[in-house]
Amino acid sequence: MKLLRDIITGAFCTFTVLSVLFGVLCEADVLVNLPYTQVVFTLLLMSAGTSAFVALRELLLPQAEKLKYAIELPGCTFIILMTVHFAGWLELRAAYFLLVFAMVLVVYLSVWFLTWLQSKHDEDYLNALLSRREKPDPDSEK
Amino acid sequence: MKLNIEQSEEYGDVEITIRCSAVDAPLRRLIEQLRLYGFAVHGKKDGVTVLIPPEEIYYFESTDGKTFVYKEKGVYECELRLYEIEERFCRGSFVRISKAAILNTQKLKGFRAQLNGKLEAQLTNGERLEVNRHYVPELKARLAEMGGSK
Repeated sequence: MKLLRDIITGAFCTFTVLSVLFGVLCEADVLVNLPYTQVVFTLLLMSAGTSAFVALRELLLPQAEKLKYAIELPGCTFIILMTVHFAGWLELRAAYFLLVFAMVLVVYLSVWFLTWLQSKHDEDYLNALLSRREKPDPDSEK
Repeated sequence: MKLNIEQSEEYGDVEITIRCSAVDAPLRRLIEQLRLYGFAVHGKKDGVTVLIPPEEIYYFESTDGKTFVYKEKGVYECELRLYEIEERFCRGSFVRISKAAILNTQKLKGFRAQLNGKLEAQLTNGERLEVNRHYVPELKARLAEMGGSK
């Protein structure tokens, strides 16, 4: 169930990010001559590739929580770039490859940072609650 | 709140009487703690079954379909399933921290955030347990209840 949820979330996030990228490139007149269906199909292919990679990592290395970002980030980026390259529909140059990589990097780092920030906040809050907690005073019972 | 303790060799079983105008939330929690005092878990180790009082339990953990009771030093196998333990103990100081673990908050020393976004609970015996993010709100609520009674 968790794996399925990860796959769907991964696919959705990737598709959203790539759609934004597509929008930016369209706005910059880079993709204006490309057929819309081909672009969407390529984006779906990238999402599927990324999700497949995430699923594969989850299956092969279920306990590798600490390696999650280290493995998935370059892995997913590699799959996205390879899909783009082999699809041959988007004639992306090196600069756009870097742009894709940078966007994926930003998304992953943002997610990681926000999660870490939340857990840091939880840590402070829970430790404060612990220190406030009433502790039995053995002297008072004697 | 006044606390009177009468100690004498004349008394047999421990008897606790609470006199109050109304049972409020902190008092209810105290009553639940007192009720837990009477419960004990059957734990098995090396073929020998022993009774373990809840106040000695650090946490319960379920691994490979079996439930284990962790004391300060020593692990015992328990016949109860984790959901049964949850039903029985989670009104007191015990709280679920992951799919496979129930922790005694009385044995908590502190929390630490990990780089992967999860929380680590540090116990007074030096052990560390991972707290699943899904159970953090429940943990917060329970600790707030316990702290709020001050």
